[in-house]
Amino acid sequence: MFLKLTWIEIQKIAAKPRSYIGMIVITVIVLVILLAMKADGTSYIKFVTQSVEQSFLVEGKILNGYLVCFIILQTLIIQIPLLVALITGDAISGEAGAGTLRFLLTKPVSRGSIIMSKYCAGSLYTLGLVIWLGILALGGGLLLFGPGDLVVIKSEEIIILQSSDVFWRFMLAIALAFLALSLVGALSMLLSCFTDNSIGPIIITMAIIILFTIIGTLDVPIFDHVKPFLFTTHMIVWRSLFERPLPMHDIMCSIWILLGHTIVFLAIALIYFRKKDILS
Amino acid sequence: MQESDQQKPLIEVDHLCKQYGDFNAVNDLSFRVFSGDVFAFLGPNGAGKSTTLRMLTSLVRPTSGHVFYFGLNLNEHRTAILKKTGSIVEKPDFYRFLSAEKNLEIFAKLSGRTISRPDIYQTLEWVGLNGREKDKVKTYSHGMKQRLGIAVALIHDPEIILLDEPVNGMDPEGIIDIRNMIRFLNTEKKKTILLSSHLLSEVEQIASRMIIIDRGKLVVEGEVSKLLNSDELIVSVRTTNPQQVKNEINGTKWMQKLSSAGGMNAVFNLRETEIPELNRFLCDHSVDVLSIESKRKLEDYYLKLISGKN
Repeated sequence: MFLKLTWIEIQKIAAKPRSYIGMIVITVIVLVILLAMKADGTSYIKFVTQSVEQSFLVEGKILNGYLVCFIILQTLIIQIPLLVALITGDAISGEAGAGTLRFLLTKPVSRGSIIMSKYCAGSLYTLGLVIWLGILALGGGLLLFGPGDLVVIKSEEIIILQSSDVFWRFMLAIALAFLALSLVGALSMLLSCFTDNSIGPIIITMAIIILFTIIGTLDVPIFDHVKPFLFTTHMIVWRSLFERPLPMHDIMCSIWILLGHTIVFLAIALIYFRKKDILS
Repeated sequence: MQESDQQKPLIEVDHLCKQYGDFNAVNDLSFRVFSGDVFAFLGPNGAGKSTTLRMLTSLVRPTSGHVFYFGLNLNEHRTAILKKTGSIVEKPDFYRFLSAEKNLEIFAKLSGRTISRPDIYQTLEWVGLNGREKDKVKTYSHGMKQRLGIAVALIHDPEIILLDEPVNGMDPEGIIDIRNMIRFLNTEKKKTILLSSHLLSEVEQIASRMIIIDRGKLVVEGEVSKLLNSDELIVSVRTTNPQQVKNEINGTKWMQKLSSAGGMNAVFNLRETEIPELNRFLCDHSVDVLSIESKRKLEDYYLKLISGKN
């Protein structure tokens, strides 16, 4: 029954026009960045590298498919949680608002399996979104600019990753981005259980992410103790894959924290939803 | 279906209560529905009908009390019970962006039984939606959604059907169709039906047994035929001078049957056969009778209930 439910949820997502907003937004943004880089990428690279040019002599083909993909991933990391929340934040509250949740819950299926099937379908949608982003950014980048060594400029260092050493990092980065976005899905689904209005969970999800991101980026000592526990701190763990050597301890720690948050959000959603009176 | 000590109820509602803060939506409600009943659940708006139906379909948890289906506690055997029931609570809502066929297919898959595509088409045809199966539900009228709701409730061939205000918002033709469907399901398909309504006239035409609830409490329970075909009538005589009526009947048997006299009305409690006799009496005593209206006691009681005068 669970697989049947999940398949039904996938069909519902596929039939909703809003499900394609994410795909369209990603396609447009990636194409705009790719074309902008093709048209005037060298100026952009000059601007980015000017701070390190005094200390280093940067030569060779820096603007390549891998760098463009890296730039695209960094640019879209703020927008993608919204695109995920558009679907998962609507999963319960949207059905409650539309009245279909009432019909659904008078059928012989457990409330727990309804939540989990909706989460699984939302996660599959997220996976599709991330893979689509990967195909467009990496495929499009390599097609237009070709491969090359990836130069990653951090605040105090330059990391040069050889062309042959980059592809697998992007694959893992996409997997970690999916893990982080699954957490966003779990959070928005939890919020979705509390209301009959689908806009509320989407806005609150984004508000939480923005608030936590601001706290995470502010250099105020009082926040230093809080930062390691904010899930937003760990949502950008994929960037660590482009360091050398790989900070495995930090990466694993972030993975566990992301997983832990996801499980806690889902558990609260399950407990609350099982006892919830359906009044919509 | 006559209630008997030997017959076990299909649905048994036992001291059901639902409280929202200080508000008692349903207060110590108990009733039983037997196999073959068309059981009506009557009450004015806000009486607690929908809350009770929500508790009967496990959408809302009772504050106290129990619901039993086939002798099984709903709280403990929810899935097994819901496989044998089909329901529409409040208005039927569907996935607007999907076709009627797809909506029915989705709910059929969740019903716990294997439903074939011909079954889906047959059910859609039976509720009168053939030819519109492929249309998205967002193009459907309220009446069509109601029909699709009935199709969803029936698709898995349940033993018990629960319908919340099934003719609400429908046109006269639709009301007759739904009424006929309910009769057919009960008499031909042998389904037990529990329906809620705020229309006494509707209940009278469909139901075999009924209860009336008000402010979450049971106020009347019994067989519809007995409750509504009672001999006792409330007869309102409209006249130019009710005081003259009072004077003329003073010392006669009519005086004991006079309930009130005021404005332009004199109200009597009479049997139907006594109405012509009273009319003759008043005419013989030169009382100008403008009109005589009669209502059954239950009807009058219910009208007062829904107008908030009770």
